[in-house]
Amino acid sequence: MAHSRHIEAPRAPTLLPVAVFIALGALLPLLLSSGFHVRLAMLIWIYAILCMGFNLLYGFTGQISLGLPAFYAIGAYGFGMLQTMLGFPPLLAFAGTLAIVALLSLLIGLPLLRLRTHYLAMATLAFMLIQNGVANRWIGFTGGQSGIAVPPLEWAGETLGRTEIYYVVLVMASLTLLLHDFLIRSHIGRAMQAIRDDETAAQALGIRVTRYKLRILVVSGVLAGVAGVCFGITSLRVDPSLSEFHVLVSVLTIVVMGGLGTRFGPIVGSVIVVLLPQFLTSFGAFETVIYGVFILVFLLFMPHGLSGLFERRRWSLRRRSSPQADAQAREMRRSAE
Amino acid sequence: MPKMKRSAAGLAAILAMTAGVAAAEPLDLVVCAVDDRSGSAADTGIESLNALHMVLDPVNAAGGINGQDIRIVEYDSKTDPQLAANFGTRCAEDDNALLIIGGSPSAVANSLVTVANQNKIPLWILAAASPELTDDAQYQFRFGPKVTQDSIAVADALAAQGIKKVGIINNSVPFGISGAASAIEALEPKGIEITTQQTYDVAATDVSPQIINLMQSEPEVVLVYPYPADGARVIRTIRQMGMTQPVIMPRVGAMKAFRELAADAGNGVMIPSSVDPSREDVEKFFDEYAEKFGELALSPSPAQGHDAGMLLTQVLKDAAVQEKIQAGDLQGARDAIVEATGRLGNFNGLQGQKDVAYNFAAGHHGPPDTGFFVFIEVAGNGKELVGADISKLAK
Repeated sequence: MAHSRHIEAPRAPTLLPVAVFIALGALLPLLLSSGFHVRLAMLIWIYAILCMGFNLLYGFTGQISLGLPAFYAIGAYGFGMLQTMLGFPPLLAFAGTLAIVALLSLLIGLPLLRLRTHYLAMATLAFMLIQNGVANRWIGFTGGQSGIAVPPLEWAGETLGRTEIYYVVLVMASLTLLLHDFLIRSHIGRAMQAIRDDETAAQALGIRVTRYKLRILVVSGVLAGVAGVCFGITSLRVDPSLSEFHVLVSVLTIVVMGGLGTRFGPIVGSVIVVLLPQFLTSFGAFETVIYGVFILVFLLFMPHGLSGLFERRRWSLRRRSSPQADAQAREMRRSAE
Repeated sequence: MPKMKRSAAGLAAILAMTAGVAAAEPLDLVVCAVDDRSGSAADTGIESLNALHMVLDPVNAAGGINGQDIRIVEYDSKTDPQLAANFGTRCAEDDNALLIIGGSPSAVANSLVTVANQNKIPLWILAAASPELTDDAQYQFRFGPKVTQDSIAVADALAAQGIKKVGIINNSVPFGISGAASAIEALEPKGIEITTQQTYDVAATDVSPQIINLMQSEPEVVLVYPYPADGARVIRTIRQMGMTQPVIMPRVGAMKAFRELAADAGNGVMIPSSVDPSREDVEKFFDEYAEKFGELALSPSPAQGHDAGMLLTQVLKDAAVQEKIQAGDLQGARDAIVEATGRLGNFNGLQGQKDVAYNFAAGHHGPPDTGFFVFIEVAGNGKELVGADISKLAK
C-alpha cells in the first residue's frame, strides 16, 4: 500500500501549502500600501473561489460547464435581493442564496448531465445566456442593466471597512480552499479523476458516475454563488455584467495560466489575471496584444499552467527519489506489455 | 533637563513646521480617463480621448493652470465593467485623481458610478446612454444625452410629421433593450402606434425572420436600436427585402463602424444627433480633428471629449477648487469640483443646437431634455453625415 501511494496522481500528503496560502492571505493587508491593493487582493480570492469550483468540475471531473458565471451572478443578485426585497439579515441572506444556487444547480444538472463534452458546454452556456437575458430584461425585478445595490456589511451598527471585508472574503476563500483540497485528496477526488479519465471504466469500478457528477456540479455552483456573494459585499453592486462573456473568459484564462486539475492553479491563475492588466496599463494600445501573447505563451510552453509546472516537478522529483516506486512502475509496464 | 526639554520642544516645532509644509504641498492636477479604447465601443473612447487632448495639450503648453500641467492617466476598460471598477478605484485611491472622465458603454459607466459614490470622487460620464446613471446623482455628471432624450426627440419629430405607425427592431444588449423601451414610452403618449417590436441577438448573422415580421406589420417608419455591426446587418436586410420606409437609428447610425459596414444600404438612415453640422464652430473643430487624427465624420464622441476638456479647464481654474488644490486637500478639492461643475456647467459646448447649453445644475447633471438634437442622415455610401430633411419621413 505504501508503495502504491508513490505512483498515484500527484497528490500532496500535507496541508502545509494550504496553511501557507491562508497565512499569506491573512498577512497581506499588513503588507499592502493602499485600499486599492486590498481591493485587488479581494478580487484575487473571489476569482479563486469561483475557479476552484470550475477546477473541481472540469479539471478533476472532466465536466465542462460554461454556465458558472450564471451561478456567480445569481449568488450576487440573491444576496442583495434577499436583503433589500425581503429584509433578510446578511447571514440569513447568505444561507438563502446558497440554498437557491444549490437547488438551481441540481435542477439544471439533472437533465444536463446526460450530455457530455461540448454538448454539455453548449447547454450550460445556454443557461448562462438565459440568466443574463433575464437579468438584463426583467428590469422591474433585477434593475436591468443598472443592476441593484447590495447593502454594505455592518458589525455592531458600524459599516465594515475594506480591510474587514477582505478578511470576510479571506475566510470564505480559506474554507473553499480547504474543501477543494479535501475533495481532491480524498476517495471522492480519486472517483472524480476516474470519471474524468474514462466514465465507462469508472462505472465498471463501481463508481456511481451520475451521482458524483451531479454532486460536483452542485458544489461548483454553490462555490460560484459564494464568489458572487463575496463580489456583492466587495463592490456593493451587482449588474448583468457578472454573467457576461468576459467573466467566462477570465475563468478560462485563470485555469489555463494557473493550471487545470492542479491543487493551487485557481489561486495562482487568479493572481495573474487580476494583477496583469494593472501592470500592462503602461503599454497603452499594446496592452491587449501583450496580454494575448502572454496567454499564448502559457498555452504553448506551460499547458499545465504555473501550478502544474511546480506540482508535476515536485511529483517527478519524489518519484526519482523513490527506487521502490520506480521498480513498481517498471513492473507495471512489463505486465502491461 | 530644562535644556533637554527646550531641545525637544524645538525639535517638535521643527517637525510640526515640516509637517505643515508637507501638508500644504499643492495637489498634482491628475485626471483619469477610463474608457473603452479596445472592443466594441473603442471608437467612442478613442475619439473622445483625442478631443480631450486637443483641448488640454495647448493649455499645458501655455503653462498649465497656475503653473501646473494637467496630467491625464489613461486606462482602457475594454467594455469590462469589473475592470473599469478596478481602474476607477485605482484612480481614486492610488493615482489620487481629482476626477474621472469616461464611461461610454452604460455597463462600464454604471460600475464607475459605484466607484465614484464609494470614493466620493467626481465622475464625468461621456457617451453612456442609460437614463439611470444620473438619477439622484451626487458625484456623477453626463455629457452624452440619455437614450430617453433621443427618444423624446424622435417622438417629437415623428408626431410633427403626422406619423402614426412605427415598427421597432432592437438588439438584445442593454442599449437595444432600454432604447426600445424608452422609444415606446415616448411614442405611445403621442398617439403613435407601435406596429411591432422585434428583438434579435447582437451576434445573429441572419435577422431576416425579424425583418419579415417588421415588414408584415406595415409601419410608416422603422426605428432601429443596434450596435454598429449588427446595425449594418439589419439595414442591409431591410433594404434587400425591399422595405423602403425611412429608417431612424439613434446614435449608432453616426458611428464610423456602422457606416462603413452598411455602405450604400446606410444611405438615408436618419439619426437624432447631439452634434449640429450647421454650426460653424462644430465644423471648425472637426476640421482640426481631421488634421490631427485623420478624417472623421461628425459624431458625438469627439464633441463630448472636447466639451469635457473645456469644462475641466474652467473648473480647475475656479478659485474654490484652486484653494483646496493649493492646500493639498484631496477630498476638499474633489468636493469643490463637484460644486464647481454644477455652478459652471451651464455652458455652450459643441453639442446641442446653437445657444442651447448643458444643464449641470443640481437635480439634472446633463444635457437638457429639449433643443439638444438635430436630425442628420448618412450619405455618400457611409462616408458623410449631412443635415436631414425630416419632412421626408412623411413621404
